[in-house]
Parts: sequence; structure tokens; C-alpha cells
Amino acid sequence: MQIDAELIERARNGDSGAFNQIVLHYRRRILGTIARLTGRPEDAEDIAQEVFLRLYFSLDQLRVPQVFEAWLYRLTVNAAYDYLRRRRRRGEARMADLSPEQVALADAAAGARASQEEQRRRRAREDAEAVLSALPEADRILLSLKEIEGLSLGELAGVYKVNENALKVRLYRARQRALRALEALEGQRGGSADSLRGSHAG
Amino acid sequence: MPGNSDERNNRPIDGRLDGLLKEYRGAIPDPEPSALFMPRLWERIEKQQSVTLGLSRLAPLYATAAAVLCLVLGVALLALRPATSVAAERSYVEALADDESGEAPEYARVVLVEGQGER
Repeated sequence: MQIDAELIERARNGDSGAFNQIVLHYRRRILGTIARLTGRPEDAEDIAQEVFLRLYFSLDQLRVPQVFEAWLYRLTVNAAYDYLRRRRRRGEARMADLSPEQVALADAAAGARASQEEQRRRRAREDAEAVLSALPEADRILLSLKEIEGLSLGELAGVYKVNENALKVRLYRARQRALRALEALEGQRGGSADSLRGSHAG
Repeated sequence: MPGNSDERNNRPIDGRLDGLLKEYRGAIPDPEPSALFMPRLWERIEKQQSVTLGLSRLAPLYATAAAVLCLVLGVALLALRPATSVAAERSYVEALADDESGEAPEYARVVLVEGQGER
């Protein structure tokens, strides 16, 4: 739900109370979006604070309060993109990068503790992470915003400042890459591919 | 055609990708912000503000220092300028008058030599 233009105007004029209200209104949604865009809920708070920090210092550039949400999402996308690029540069090892044997060992160790539902969720998260991390950062973010966050083409056009046709082409390419990554993952899993297919069939 | 959902969902792999992404959405719900979220945010804002404020305070100082440096360098360049030579003090016309090289262009001499040969 969009907050009213008057609150944004007050925040723009330096009213810290109004800015606080804006942060309180959006922070949980932004935290969730960042957690899913980056696949790291544990780092989401730090990145979300970066988003609101950038918002605080860029509010005076916002000319039309009606585009506030698109503006906030753009800041979120940029911060998530920066984070993903930093992480790729550092070359951090993730569950998705491990061999099937290592994943199976990790599964066995964690399986003893986690419930069946938790295990299923964790598995879905790992599989999705494996697919998404195989994409370039820009594709990952665009596909996530559309398919996971559920933003419409119109909303995405506002965030990216491009027309819907250009977005459709970019989305199509991102999806094709994701499909190839999923096929590769299923091929890599070999024996466990049936379970992967069974558990994610929409 | 990009974005044609009917076409894309006809293939089983498309359905599996959609299912996977849907499950991913459920696997990572919106996290609850910590109690320190707002204090830390304001801490970062204030820190950033103090840096900006510090820089804006230092800006006139840097500008003054740059102007003084320019002035000093300008004076130094003037003081260290080499003594002007006699040649540099002459006017263009004087320099031209002193030039002893021939006035006739090279091609005129060539034509003259060729003309003598015909005769």
C-alpha cells in the first residue's frame, strides 16, 4: 500500500518523524525482497539499512511523490545488485556451489535436526539458489522481481525506467537462462532429479 | 514470443521452474526486523551526515588553499622566468629584414634551369 504524498513531502523537508514512519511502513517488505533477491536473509538487514540510508540522502531529488515506490524499489535493486557483485568478486562458496556429495553430507547432518517441512523448504531454497546464482546478477534480480516478488510489467517499467517491450525481451532471456540452469541442475543431480521434478512441479 | 505465459507453461520444465520459484518465495518469508534496526539506521545517517558536514566545512578551506597555491606558483613562475634574449625582443619585421636566405622560392629556380636547357 502506497503511503500518502504529504508524508513524503514532510520527509523531504527534513522531518525525521515522517522519515521514520516511511521506514517503518516499508522496512519489512524491503527486508523480504532483499532476502530473496540476494538469497541471504542474514545480510538483509544491513542491505536494507543501506537502502534507507540512500533514500534519506536522495529524497530531495524525488520530484513526484507518486513515483516513490518505484524509486524505493530502484534503490533496493541497486543495493542488492551491489551486494551480489561484491559477493561474486569475493567468490564465496555457497551450498549451491558444492558437489552433490557435499550437499548430501550437509543434508544428512542437518536432516537429523530439521523437521520434514523445514527440510523441504531448505531443499527448495537450495535448488532455487542454485538456479538463480547461475544467472548474471541483473537477470537474477529482474527475474526475481517478476516471478518471486510478483511485480507487474508496469511496475517493473517504473523501477527500471524502460518500456514494457524491452522488459519482456530481457525477462524472456533471463528465463531462458534460468531454464538452462535448472536443466543443468537436474542433469547434475542425476538420480535425485526425479525427486527434484516431483517436488517443484507447479 | 517473450512473455507468452501460455506457451511457456506448456513445457514441463517451465512448470518446474515456476514451482521452484514459488516455493522459494515461501521458503524465505519477509524477515522480522531486529529491535536495533532503527537505532542502527539513524546511527549510519548521523555518521554520514557528519562526514558530509565535515567535507562541506572543509570545502572553503580547500578552495582558499588552492587559490593561495595558484598565486604562489604564479609568482614563482614569474620570478624564475629566464632573462629575455635579444632575438625575443625584436619585432617580426626586424627579424624578417635580418634574414639573409634567398627570397625566391625553390620552384622558380627549377623552371629557370629547364628554360636554359631548351635554348
